[in-house]
Amino acid sequence: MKKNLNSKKAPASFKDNVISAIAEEIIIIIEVKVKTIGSQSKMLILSVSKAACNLLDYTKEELIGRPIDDIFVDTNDAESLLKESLDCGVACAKKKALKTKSGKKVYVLFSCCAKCSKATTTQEIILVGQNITNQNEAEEALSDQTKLLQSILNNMADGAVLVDKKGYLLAFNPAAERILRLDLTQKDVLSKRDGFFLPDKKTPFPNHKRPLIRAIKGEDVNKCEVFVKHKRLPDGIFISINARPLRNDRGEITGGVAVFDDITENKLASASLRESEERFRALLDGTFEGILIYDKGKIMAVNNAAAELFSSDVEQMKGMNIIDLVVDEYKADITEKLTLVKQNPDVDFGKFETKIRGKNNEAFDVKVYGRSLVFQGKKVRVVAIRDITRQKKAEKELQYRMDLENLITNISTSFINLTPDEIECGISSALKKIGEFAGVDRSYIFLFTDDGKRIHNSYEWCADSDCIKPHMKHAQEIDLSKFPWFYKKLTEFEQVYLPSLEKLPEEAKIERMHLEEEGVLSLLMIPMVHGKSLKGCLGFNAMRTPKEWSEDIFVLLKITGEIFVNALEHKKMLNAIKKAKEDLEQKVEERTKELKEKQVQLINSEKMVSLGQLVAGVAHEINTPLGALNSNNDIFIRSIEKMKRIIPSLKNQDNELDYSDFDKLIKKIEELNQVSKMAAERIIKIVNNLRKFARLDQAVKDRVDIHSGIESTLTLVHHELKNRIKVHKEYGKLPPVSCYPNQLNQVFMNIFINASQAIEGKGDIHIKTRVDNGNALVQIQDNGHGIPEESLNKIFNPGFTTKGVGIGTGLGLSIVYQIIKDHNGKIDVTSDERKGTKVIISLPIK
Amino acid sequence: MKNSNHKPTIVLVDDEEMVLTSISSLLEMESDYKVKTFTSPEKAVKYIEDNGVDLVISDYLMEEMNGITFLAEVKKIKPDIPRIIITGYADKENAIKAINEVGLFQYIEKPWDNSDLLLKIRNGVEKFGLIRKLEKKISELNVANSERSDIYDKMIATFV
Repeated sequence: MKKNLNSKKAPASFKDNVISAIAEEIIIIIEVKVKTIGSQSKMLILSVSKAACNLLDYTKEELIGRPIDDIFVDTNDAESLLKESLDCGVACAKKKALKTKSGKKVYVLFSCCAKCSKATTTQEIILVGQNITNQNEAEEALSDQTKLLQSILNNMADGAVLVDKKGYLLAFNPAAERILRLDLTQKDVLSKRDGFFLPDKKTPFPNHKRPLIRAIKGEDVNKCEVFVKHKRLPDGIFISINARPLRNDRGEITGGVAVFDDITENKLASASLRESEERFRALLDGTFEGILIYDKGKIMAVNNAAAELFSSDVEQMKGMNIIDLVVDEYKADITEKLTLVKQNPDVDFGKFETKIRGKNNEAFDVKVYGRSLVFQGKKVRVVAIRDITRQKKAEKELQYRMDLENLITNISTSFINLTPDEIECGISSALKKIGEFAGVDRSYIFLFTDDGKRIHNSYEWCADSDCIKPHMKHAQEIDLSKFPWFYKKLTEFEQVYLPSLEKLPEEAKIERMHLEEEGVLSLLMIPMVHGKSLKGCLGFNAMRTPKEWSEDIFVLLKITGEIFVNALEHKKMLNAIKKAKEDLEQKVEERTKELKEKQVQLINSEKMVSLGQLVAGVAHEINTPLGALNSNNDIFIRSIEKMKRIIPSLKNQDNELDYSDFDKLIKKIEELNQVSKMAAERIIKIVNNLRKFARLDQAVKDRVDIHSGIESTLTLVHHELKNRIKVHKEYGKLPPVSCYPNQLNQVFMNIFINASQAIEGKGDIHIKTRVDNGNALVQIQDNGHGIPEESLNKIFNPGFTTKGVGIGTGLGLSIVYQIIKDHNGKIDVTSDERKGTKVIISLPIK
Repeated sequence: MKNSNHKPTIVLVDDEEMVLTSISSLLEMESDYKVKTFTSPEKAVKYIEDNGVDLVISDYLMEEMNGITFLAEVKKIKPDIPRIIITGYADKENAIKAINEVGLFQYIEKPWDNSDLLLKIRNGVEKFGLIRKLEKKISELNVANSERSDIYDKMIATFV
């Protein structure tokens, strides 16, 4: 410790030497025992400078070791000064009154510095002073003036601070405190050189930038802006500082003065202005929209985006005529708008679309929005231009997709409702729709044959153009092995998409040749698959300009293909079902018809047999008595003849008898015998015809005379016709006709009876026969009431009758029809409700 | 000829009396045949069996026996007698069948024509007469032949 102390002493002499060397300065070094501070006056002068000795009128020796209190007028002054120095390390510009040895009062402005040494219990305080006694006196002399200045300072709106030549605060006005929101009497303010303009802690504020420091170095600082921010000014303020050096009479710098003002508001205002300007510029350049500012049609300014849009640069575009930017077709529109703007600068067109000549002279779709604003003091128009080419394209694509989807939806829904017969038509119209939509020149469907080896063009649509010729006719039953590459692709269910034939690989040489020959530029073929088997393909050809399709359209077209193939398969199935149904129906119908015919035949033959038997029986029954009658009549005739031969001899033998009566009687008998003979012959004829009609003896096919059949039948229906209907016969020359005579007679019988029933009252039946082309024709025409048209096609149906239940059996004409059919003949009935009915029977002669 | 006064006998069979009367009256008047009428075919068969008959005329449809059957019987017993069927039945097919079966001499339909009937009967009778004469000649020849062979035998026996 001692050693330390001693070692301390040694430099003291050095210190002393130094101090003595700085003669002009009043320097007092004081040793303070730390422990005793404040309690006892143990602050002793350690060393003094010569100037200090001179000032205080002591010798150096007198002063060293003397308590400090001895030289201070007010001991409290000394204590507070030293305490401050110790606490803060420094104390600046403290005006203190000292007393000389003679007790004279002198004023010294002190700056203190504590030499702090923590290791020791003693501290040294160096007081550096300046004799300001004279100044003080001058001050006091100037006090009035000072007071005036002081009041000016106090009432100034601007803040003012004064510092000494080292930068320590000497004075300030209230405005300074108010502006800075600082207590300038605070030590932490005072202890710093130019320490009152406190910027934000983060902002570096080096000494050489501090305005007052600059001022005390001789610089006039004008409008130095500092941003001040501290606890009490959390938002910070901008102050503008004007600082000047303070010089004494000799022109030496003694300090600095700074006058400052809060310019935050101005600053903010101008900042926001600048900011908005910057923002505007940034906006102008940052925006994707091209912006043009023009006046009277001439461009004043553009942004980068605009320059880029027009493939120009910002400067080059200035002065250009706005109309030159627009494509020709829109020039009129824009000119009109410009004219309107000239008339009324505030006119608002809203957003409108136009086309500009942009990069590479390409046309761009743009959306334009224009309005007027004040720019550089002038009312000008500003327009924003947005390139909507892509948007338009996207819109177009979207529209295209939507349209396509709509189309496919339409097709698929329409197909649901189609009947099998309409499917063909539906496919054709769908091909047309898709073809037109896709803008291709030909759309078509190829379907495989059932063996899957060949393919044929089943449906086709061609664009309405002279250069597109349908090739459906030529594209039937094509052997697919001729096109191995297509075949491979399709059988692997892969689509063939060729925007250009260049895309065809080497192995598709044949296909390429074929397509080139046909003039196909682009091709899309989509396999149509049903139930894991290839049914065909849906194809699109572009022949005039190459065509590209997007991937998602393939999917949609694939769906269409599926719709088609489903519809076709559905149709196939329905057709099969329909055919099966029809076959079945036909079979049922045929069977029914057959059964009906059989029934008719059965009834017919039964009828015939029973009729024949009846007729035969009747004939036999009649023939026996008739035979007797006829024979007897003949015997009478013979007897009379014999009697007549006897009578002359009787006359001769007996003259008495009157034979005249006898002769008369014989004559009468002869007469009556003749009548009886005729009557008998008539009966014989009737019975004979009856037998002929039944012709049981002719139930085999025979070549017979049709006329005799007609005749015998007429005899049998004689009772129906006589006195009412006249029968006109025009018989031609007919060879014997091969037929079943009994059946044929029944046909005639039916027709005659129908004719007689159709004639009410008197009428005519015309019978004409002739040979026509190897056929015997029999025409029977009546002038009865005819057959209603609606019944005409039903007259041959078994069971059809107009005669009322119970009158006709309804089998008559059906039997007729059956008989004629059995004869390989034809029967034709025409009827007019006013003129009557005509029946023509045509029978093959052989 | 020793048979010159022989009256040919005609057998007439019909279940209808009126037919029998008619035809027998005709024959009585217009011929000198002996007419034997029967309404029963069976009785007729019996008669034919026991008597010499030159011709048989029969109705076709009779209650007791079909004319065809009857004539077949007749053929059995006296195959040479000409047989005529007279029918009112219209079924010519059956009739022809019958003719072939029985081998009829004639087929006559009712109502018959008397002249026609007479002609056919006469032809039949004549035919039968010729056949009988032929038979007689043949048997005479046979007798002569046998006599001749007897004599021949005797001569041989005498000489041998």
